[in-house]
Amino acid sequence: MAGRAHPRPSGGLENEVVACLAAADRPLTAAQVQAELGDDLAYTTVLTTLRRLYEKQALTRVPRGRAYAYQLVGNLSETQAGLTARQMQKLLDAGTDRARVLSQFIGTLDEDSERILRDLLARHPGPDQTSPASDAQEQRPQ
Amino acid sequence: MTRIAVVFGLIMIPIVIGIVGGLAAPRAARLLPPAAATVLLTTFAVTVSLATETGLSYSAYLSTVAVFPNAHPSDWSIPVLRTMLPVPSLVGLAVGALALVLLGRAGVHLIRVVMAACRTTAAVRAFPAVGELAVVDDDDAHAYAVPGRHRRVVVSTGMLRLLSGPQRRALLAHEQAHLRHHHHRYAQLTRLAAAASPPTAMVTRAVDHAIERWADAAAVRAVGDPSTVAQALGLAALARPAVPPHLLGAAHGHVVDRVQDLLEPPARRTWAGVLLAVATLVCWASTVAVVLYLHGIVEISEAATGG
Repeated sequence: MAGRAHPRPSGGLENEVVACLAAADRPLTAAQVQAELGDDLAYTTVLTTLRRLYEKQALTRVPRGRAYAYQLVGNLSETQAGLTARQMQKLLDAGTDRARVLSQFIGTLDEDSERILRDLLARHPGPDQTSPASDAQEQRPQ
Repeated sequence: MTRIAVVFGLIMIPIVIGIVGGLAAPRAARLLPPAAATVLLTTFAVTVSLATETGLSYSAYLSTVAVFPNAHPSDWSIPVLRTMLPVPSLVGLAVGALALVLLGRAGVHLIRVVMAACRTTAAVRAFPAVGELAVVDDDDAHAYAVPGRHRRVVVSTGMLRLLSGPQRRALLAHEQAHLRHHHHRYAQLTRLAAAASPPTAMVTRAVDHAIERWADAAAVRAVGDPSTVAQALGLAALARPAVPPHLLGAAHGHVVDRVQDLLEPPARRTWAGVLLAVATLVCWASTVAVVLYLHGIVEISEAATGG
């Protein structure tokens, strides 16, 4: 990848930052977010995005050193959200709205396809990892 | 008798093309760039079902003139029509019943889609979201896009933890591409077409597949590297427990095909697209021909009544 020649759709970076903080499960500083995103993003761009999200009250922040560490606003009604998620999953499993809900980023595999898939991925290691399928948990680039 | 043969032949053209096209659709989809495949296959499926329905219902209407004389214009000469198009009334009734059943299937499908859409929209509105992104606290890896007025990309924390930064960007770009390009419209149109014309049911799966590859291609543009998208796809798929093959049915090999397309892109063939477009045009031509031909017969019968 040479520089960041890949334009983002509007709101794309905000979504990435939110996704990054949701995955982290602990407050992250702008520098940590920048490292996590790993797309040669300017520090100020990340910081601006974090501030904008903070102003939208999507994030909370705590002082850490000379900077702030940011965290997603804890879902006040977490049980409510969990309920909705289960309800949604049920709708998906029932397959009634398959045409509208495009849920196939992931699919299900049988043992054969699983082996083929592991072979394929092993033959084409990504830019930021060497043995991708072997250990999914151990993934912290940089 | 030759007139019946002509009408029968013209009606059968879209049906036969629909069956052949349905069988060839999965191959055709992989020979074409995903966006082109999606649009061409959707147009094809909709055309086949419209052409089939038009041919069946118009011919049934004309050949049941003796059974329901009141349902037809009074200046049509029934005896002339009967001699011009001597289709047994029973056959006409059967064809009419078939046309009605297919139309009914489409109607039922439409009602069910609208009801399901209301339920999912209500469910997804309840998600706490930042912009269009809703993160669900769930250890299982899942991600999907819900279109509509309150469109959302829903991702579980389990999925996000599985992926690295660039892989997450690929995932988000994939789901956003679904929303931005209104992929659900193609998925819905082909399902409606399949309800009205069962032979095109195979096209539905090919279009589903093409839509996913379309979103994968958009993700590649967002991260600039196909292998990152492939890794993200693979990690997500491998995180789920493997399923015995007999439970899988249609989804078999879906992810593997997509990963393969990303890592080892197949050669694209323009002729596949041209062939699909020609097949679509032939369906339209046969429909226009059958309508004009039947209309000609009606005009002769009108002339016979001295109108």
